[in-house]
Amino acid sequence: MKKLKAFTLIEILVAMLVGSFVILMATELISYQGKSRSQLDDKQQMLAFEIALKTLRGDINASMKSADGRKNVVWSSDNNSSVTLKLNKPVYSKGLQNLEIVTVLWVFSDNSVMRSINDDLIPLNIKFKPMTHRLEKLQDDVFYLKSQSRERKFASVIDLR
Amino acid sequence: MEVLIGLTILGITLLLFWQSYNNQIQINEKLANAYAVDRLEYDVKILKEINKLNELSQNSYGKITNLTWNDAEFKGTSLGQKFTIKFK
Repeated sequence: MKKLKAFTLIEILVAMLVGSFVILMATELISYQGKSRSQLDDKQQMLAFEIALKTLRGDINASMKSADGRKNVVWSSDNNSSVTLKLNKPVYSKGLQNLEIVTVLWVFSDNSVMRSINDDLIPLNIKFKPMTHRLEKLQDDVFYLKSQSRERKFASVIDLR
Repeated sequence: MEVLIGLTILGITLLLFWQSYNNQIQINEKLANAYAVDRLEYDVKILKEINKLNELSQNSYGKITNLTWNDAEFKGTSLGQKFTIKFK
């Protein structure tokens, strides 16, 4: 009688066990990767926003002053959703080998922070999850910029003295 | 045997991948917190100067906890590390 070539029951069971283990691991990995990706995006956004706030502080501290001694920063705040700040500051120009005055515009809107210099055609624009921004007055020429997303809050003092 | 070696290599690859993700998350968190402490220091000094320290938005500075202050200094804890901001 001719002997048929085939897998034994044990081999099939082991193969099924290994196969199910691989499928389980792949499912777990896909689910974990989704969570990690969202967590990583969240942390990267947080870091990008912190760097934006630090850059804003630098811009405000370097801004030109008006005749009365206060920083010449024009601001506007739109009902808890967006804040705009416009200032002039001196920067060293490599091309001119001299100081030049540039206009810096900051726009904190519901899903991005934009910084443009001298009406850049392609300004720096950082996209964020939906956020609200408002400027609270603490005293004359000192404001508190408060930004809030669903998960996080940020606050930064804007000192225009 | 070949399948087992393949699975072991796959397992090690996944582990390294998982670890790199975790490290990236931790580095970003530490950096963001360092920037938050810097922002807090700047804000606290101005708020102290204008006598509005009580208006400090305490939950807006990342994972900074145990905030206490007096006339001379401001103390807090950032990711388990204590820090002090001295007022002039």
